[in-house]
Amino acid sequence: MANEKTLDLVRLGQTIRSLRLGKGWSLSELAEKSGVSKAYISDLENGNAGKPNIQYVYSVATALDVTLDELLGESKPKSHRVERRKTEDLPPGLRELQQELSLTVEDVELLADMNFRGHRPRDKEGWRFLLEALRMVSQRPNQK
Amino acid sequence: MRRIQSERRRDPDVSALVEAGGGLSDARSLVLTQARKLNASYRRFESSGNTPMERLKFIASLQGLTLAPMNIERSRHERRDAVVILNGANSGKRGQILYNPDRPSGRRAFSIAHEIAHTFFPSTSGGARFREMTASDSQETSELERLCDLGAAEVLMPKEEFQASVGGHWGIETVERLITEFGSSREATVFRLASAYHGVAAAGLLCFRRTKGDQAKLKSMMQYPQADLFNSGDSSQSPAGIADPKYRRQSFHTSDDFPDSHTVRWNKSFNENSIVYKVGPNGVMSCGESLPNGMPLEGILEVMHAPYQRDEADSEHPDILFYWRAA
Repeated sequence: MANEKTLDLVRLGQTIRSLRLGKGWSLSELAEKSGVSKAYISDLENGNAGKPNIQYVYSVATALDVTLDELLGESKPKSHRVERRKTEDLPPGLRELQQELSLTVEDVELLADMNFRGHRPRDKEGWRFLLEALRMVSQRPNQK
Repeated sequence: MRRIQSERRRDPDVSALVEAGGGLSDARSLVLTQARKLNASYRRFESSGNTPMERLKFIASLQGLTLAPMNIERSRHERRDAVVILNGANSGKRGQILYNPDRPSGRRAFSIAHEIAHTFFPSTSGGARFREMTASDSQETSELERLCDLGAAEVLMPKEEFQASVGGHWGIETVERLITEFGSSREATVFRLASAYHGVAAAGLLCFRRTKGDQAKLKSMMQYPQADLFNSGDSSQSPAGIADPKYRRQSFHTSDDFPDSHTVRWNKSFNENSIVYKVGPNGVMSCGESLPNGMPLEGILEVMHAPYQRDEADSEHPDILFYWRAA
């Protein structure tokens, strides 16, 4: 668990992986775009980076187009963001999936912000596929 | 914790901060708490070898902000050292700080830290607000700006790290080393020598000028020269009872132990026998003196020319930084 003195490395790793996959990038692609080694990113994603080097994590965050605040999942304005997104602003198919699976607003928000290999799903089944892929990734045991 | 003095005319941002804090803490404590949390968040990472500017970039990112230099055209005409542009609520990033790359590094760093501190105030998250960082010649910078300066000092020069770095050498002679280490401006570093001091200390900016009232009278006399006929016999006063210019308090920063009851009020002049009138352009003068605040306490007063002079600063009596600590 994170507190003022330690980082939640598992959560950090999950977020990096989820954002990377959301962009449809492989580890090698993120390594190339961030200038951080593939091995280090893999360690970050698997929560094995010890006390992470802020320069490297920042480079990864920048490549993923997020701030450290967002990467750590400590971003305060997100709660406002979730509340303020109107249902009619959701992309096609996502609202239907939300109703069918009773998704939380956080899950919907996460999906709505995502691109998959540069594209967004266009219908309910596409969103379902993306959601399942994310859930599979987040439940996968750590790999070396 | 010390309480800020003026509670009468509250900036809405400050009120929102106090409300968000449950109304139990004063704004000063809340700002310091936020700055310290941000520093603690930074310390969770391995960060050895980072320059002060790199550290600031990471701290900004931990606060959801990105940094970018102003474009050349804007930086040429921009009076502000830095500006925070906050995103709307639908954006994950909180906003961006644009800084003027033409400014000296210390001043730029403090300005960026100041803008970071603006985001500690919850009501600023609704949209873009533009603020001026450089100290104006106004009577007092607003409560909000002073609180942001307080937060900026804590972000840029964390108190405990600053105290450890000073290592007992509390004096202006350590300022250059501290600037190199923490990357702040000369003024902010001198002021931090006061606010981080363990005992009773104060620092600030002095400007050589008349009172605002006398300045207005003088301006009026220039427009209506016949007023000169009413000459005063007092040698310390110009025609029409206008007193000669003196070094007067502009800004004032104190240690936690400095008694609020003895704050040197704005506009208060320093005695003409003080060393503030004797310092040369490159020197630092030091002397045992008390402050013009009625406090029967002598201390070491050090003075130096301020690195940035106002356009209207007197050429023979430039703006001065002072640092005083109880002996």
